[in-house]
Amino acid sequence: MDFGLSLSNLGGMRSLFSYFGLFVSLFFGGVLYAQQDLVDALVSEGLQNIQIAVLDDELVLGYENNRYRYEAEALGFVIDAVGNYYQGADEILVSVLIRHKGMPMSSVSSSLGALRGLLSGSLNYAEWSDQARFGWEVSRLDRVLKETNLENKSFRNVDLPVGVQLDYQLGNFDNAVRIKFNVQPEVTSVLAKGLTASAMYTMSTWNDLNNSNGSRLVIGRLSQDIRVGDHFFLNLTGGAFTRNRLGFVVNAQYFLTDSEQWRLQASWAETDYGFFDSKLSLIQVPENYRMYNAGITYRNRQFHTDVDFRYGRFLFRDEGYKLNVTRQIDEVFIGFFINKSTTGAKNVGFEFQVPVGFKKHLKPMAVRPMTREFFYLPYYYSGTGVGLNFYAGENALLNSKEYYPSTLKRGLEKYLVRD
Amino acid sequence: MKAPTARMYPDNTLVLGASYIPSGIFKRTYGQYQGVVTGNAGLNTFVTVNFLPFVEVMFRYSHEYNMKVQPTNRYFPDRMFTARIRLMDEQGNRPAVLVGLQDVSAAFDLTCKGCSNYSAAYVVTSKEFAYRGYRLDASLGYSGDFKGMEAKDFRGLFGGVEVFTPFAENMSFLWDYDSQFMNVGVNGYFFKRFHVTLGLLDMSKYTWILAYRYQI
Repeated sequence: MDFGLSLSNLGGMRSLFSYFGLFVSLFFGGVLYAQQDLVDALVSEGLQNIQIAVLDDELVLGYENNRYRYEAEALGFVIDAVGNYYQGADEILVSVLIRHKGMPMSSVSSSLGALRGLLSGSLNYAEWSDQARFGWEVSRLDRVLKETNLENKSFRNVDLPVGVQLDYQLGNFDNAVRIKFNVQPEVTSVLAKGLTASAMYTMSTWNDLNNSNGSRLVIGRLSQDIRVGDHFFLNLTGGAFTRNRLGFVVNAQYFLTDSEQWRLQASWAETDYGFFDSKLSLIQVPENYRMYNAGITYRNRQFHTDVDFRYGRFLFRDEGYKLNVTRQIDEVFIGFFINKSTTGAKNVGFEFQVPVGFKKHLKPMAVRPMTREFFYLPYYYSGTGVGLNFYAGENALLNSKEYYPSTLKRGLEKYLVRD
Repeated sequence: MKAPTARMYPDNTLVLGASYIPSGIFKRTYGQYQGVVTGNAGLNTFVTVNFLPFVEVMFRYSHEYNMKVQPTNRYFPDRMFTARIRLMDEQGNRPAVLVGLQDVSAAFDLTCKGCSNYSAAYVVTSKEFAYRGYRLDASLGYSGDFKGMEAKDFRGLFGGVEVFTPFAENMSFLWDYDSQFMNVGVNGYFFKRFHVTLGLLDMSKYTWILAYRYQI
């Protein structure tokens, strides 16, 4: 029987297989190396929870930033790295999923060709950002990345941020500003996806404001962030909080559309009077005090300005509404507020939140000292105390404004456009 | 110098500053002699934010020299808010138009009416004219009462000019009428951050303004 297979033919087949093997290794090996180069670049920069999935016509990349103070700067680094290290066709869609505490927060998509055009200078930022998609929809990307390897996990590292807090009263010429300056070291660790344990200590270092000089633990808590689908954020926090509250608080936010433009929010807290004293003994006076509020926020995306209205029951058993107008300028927040209770009492003023400390922290490690990322200062023009709340520590809902698509779109320009 | 204009700093600008109000101009802001020129000078310290491209907000503390905050004299520096909203940009032959609400928080029931010392609600227009490297920025406005708040700081017509020459782009000459006094001065802008004004209020009493400007 002749199968048409002679030795010489077999030799030809061997050559064919060799060429095919060489082609496969050159093509896919090259892609894999390029992919690994990209991962290595992100890991060596200190970015975490890195995942890559290569689909037929899309590169999906997930990461978490715990290195840069400002999310837009971290995203700038990632986009730059994709443009420089990933060797795909120009038509490929690059989708970047940004995580926080392991939770998906926001996404950016662009064609690889446009990205290269931006980095090479043949496209300007406006042209690039017009074709890019800064999105709030993250579920699809999260699903795509679910089965891929997680490089440089962020969980169970310990951060030690140190911040400052200022209480003050404006006086006159011989003592123009009376201040109480507190240093607040903190220990915090993300234990699992969205789950944070943290404790914050406060130490008075300078005080000509009042007679309270004690140093003690002001926050000790466990906090769980949850994102359900694209639109719903939930946070549950239990522990000891500022203003001597002890109990639990639940915060929820629901985004009405596929953007950050309209947001519903609600908060519910059941607390007792309680705190840790200077010897770390827990003092508790049961009172089952309930605080709650609900409201709606409109964000003007052109001016990055929130108009926030909420109604509820607040710290000093006052019931009423709060209206805030807050402008976000990258990491800076400037806001004006009016709180009014049903009794007619008002609390009016303004507030600043500015970034402080280093723009880039040390690389994440088992135990990492760092500076707190912001300094917050309110001013009560006519302060009656209505509409106040306690602080239960940071969470994904409070941090979400840095991940807003419009914030990233605005902030990214400075880090991607070279002079 | 003192009269408002329809000019604003660029969006996202934060300004911290102080201005000296000379003896003979500064009026007491509290108590029995509120609104009376006591002979003490004053110091206005302020923070201004361009909150939106067309909205500027200022918070100001006005101190009286030689006064101490004490329970016995019940003195406390005056605090005030000002909001300025630009209704129209300057374009072609069209001037910029702006409305300002100064120290009128009592009109919104946020402080007591008697607490307001500098209340004024005004509309002002500004237009720049250029000729051979010289620029003249002219402003004209009118200030009146607002929701029962008497106009105190400016009342009636006010206006002024700022003149830039080709010889020193970062300096200008000022003349204005603030509805009470004629004032003159020289403005300097240094290192894109510092703003210094030296001048004479009522053409005779020394004054200065020092401000630090920061683009957020």
